[in-house]
Amino acid sequence: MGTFRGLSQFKYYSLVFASGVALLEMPACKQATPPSGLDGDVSSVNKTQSTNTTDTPVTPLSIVPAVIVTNNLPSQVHFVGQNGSPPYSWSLANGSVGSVNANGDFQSYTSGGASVIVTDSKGVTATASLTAAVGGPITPNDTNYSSQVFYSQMQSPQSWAIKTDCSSVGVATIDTGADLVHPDLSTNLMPGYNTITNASGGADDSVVSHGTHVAGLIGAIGNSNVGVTGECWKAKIYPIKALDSQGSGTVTDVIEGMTKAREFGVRIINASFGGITVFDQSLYDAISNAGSAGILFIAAAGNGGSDGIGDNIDIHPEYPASYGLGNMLVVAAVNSADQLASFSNYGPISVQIAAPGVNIYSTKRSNAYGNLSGTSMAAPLITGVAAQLWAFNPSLTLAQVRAQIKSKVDSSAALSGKVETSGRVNAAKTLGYSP
Amino acid sequence: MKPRIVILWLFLFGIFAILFRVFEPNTNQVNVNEPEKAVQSKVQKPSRQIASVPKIDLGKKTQFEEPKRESNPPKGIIHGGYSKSLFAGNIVFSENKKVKSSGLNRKVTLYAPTDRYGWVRTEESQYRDEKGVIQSRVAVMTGDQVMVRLAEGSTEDELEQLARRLGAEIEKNLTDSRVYVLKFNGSKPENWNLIYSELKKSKEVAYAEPNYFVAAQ
Repeated sequence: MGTFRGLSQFKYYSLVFASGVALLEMPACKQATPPSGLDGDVSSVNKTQSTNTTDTPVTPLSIVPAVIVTNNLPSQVHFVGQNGSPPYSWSLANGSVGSVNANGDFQSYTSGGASVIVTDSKGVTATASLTAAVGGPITPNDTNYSSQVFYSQMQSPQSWAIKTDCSSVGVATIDTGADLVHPDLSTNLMPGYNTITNASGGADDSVVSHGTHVAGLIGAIGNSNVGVTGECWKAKIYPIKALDSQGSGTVTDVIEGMTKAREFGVRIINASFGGITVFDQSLYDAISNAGSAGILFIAAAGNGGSDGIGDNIDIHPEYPASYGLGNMLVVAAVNSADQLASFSNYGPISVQIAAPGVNIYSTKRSNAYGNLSGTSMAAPLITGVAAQLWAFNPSLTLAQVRAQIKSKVDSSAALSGKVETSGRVNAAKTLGYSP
Repeated sequence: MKPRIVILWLFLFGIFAILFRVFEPNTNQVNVNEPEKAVQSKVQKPSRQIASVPKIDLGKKTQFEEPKRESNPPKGIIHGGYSKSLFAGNIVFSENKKVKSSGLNRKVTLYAPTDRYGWVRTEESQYRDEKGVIQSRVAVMTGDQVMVRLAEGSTEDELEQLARRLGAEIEKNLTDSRVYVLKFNGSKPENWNLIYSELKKSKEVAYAEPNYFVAAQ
């Protein structure tokens, strides 16, 4: 069998294989030899016997980070085959950035991961999703970042060591619009649409800057020495205005917004709205159709009823949060102590995950900033993480992204029986960070 | 005469005694207006206590201890609910019905259009939560629109004819689906019920439903 040629200064943490994808985590240069059991363990490499019909042993496919390490990020990954030569053909999965040279070096591996499909001389193929666990947490230099303590709660600084640029993943916000000229947002905003006036644009005119606040949590420009940062430092956000200046809108405007989002080619829709207490078939169909188009729909769990105290929406449904569709992630809000916010709806069937949603600091209209609370604020933090993950590994399916976010939460006893995962999102773990 | 006077005095005394007994202050009685004193009284003489019952406010959650709120609702938006301005129009129709099966109320209200919105209709239903406390939920919808999905094999022309017959018209088609918004004159509340029920019965229509409002959370 072939060998896994590990360089002495690297430690290989784990190999995880699932549904045709080999996940190899590559940490920064810290430790010596790989753990026993991984070296040359062909059986644990995911592979497809595509053309080889003989009984000859399959050639192992292995990945080794190169010596070159820049800013704690491996800048190059080296694929090695039997006898140390690179007898493979190479191709990159859709959306992966980089190239493979004649020596088997995968280059331009500057921030995060990529999916590389390798094929050996016997026709054995494998898809390797490279995941780098690198360096320590990265603190952005945005002047008001210290007001965004919720990012530390969900380990975003560690996730930023892996991925900050989500601009390869289109995200739509169906909301009150967004401040299109906000200096901390503008370059991350795409031309949106206003379904109330049926015109392009999507500017936010809301009293509380609801849509601008939401957009800032997904993708306020990060590390810019100005204001705040979003979960994504670079983003491609399409603000779709379907809610008016008072934060209200009709289902028809929302459905039109979803149609626009599909036209824009987004992969994620953020829905920080709710409040329908009767099952609405049209909205259900629209979300379901979005799922068929591969779009992840991230919805706020809702802020309770007229009394403002959270309700169990498994028992007293509120839509869209209670639809229970397979392309939805429904988000409850927690405070800084990971306790369910008093206003947050919950339900272990309808609500999948929690995120910070109390006194959340983000962008507001007219070059302003401020705090808002609500499940509206929790949802875009999940949206940002989903965009990060998808940008990091474009080959993941909707179901895989959804499952990955759900499976990497930080559990909290206070959320047991309140949300499906009993946990709050952890951005770093979701992206495969290993401390 | 003397025995009669004695008997009369005895009779009066007896009545007085009875009255005295009846009006003797009951120190164990709970004063519902002073729950703290009632609790003290409970501790001192538990055997003769009358339990105090929390007052139930219809439409408002009543709890023994209200959870601490983390923040104030944003101005202009009712936290967890809808913009106040949605309901700024005059109420032109309001009907409160008691649901026979549960004894709980169901209320329909139609608000006249404001500058910002068309007719707004609310349907408020009461229910009992897990603790048995009566709560209410409000569905808010446009008061002069209904959404319909065309049945398989039906055409837009057929829907247009149907709508016209009911005094409505197609306002718009939602792109890439067979869902249409029908609009009608909402000044008469019975229009809504009539058109809604007629559409639901129509063979040209797969389903009809209100055009609900959503709210920023």
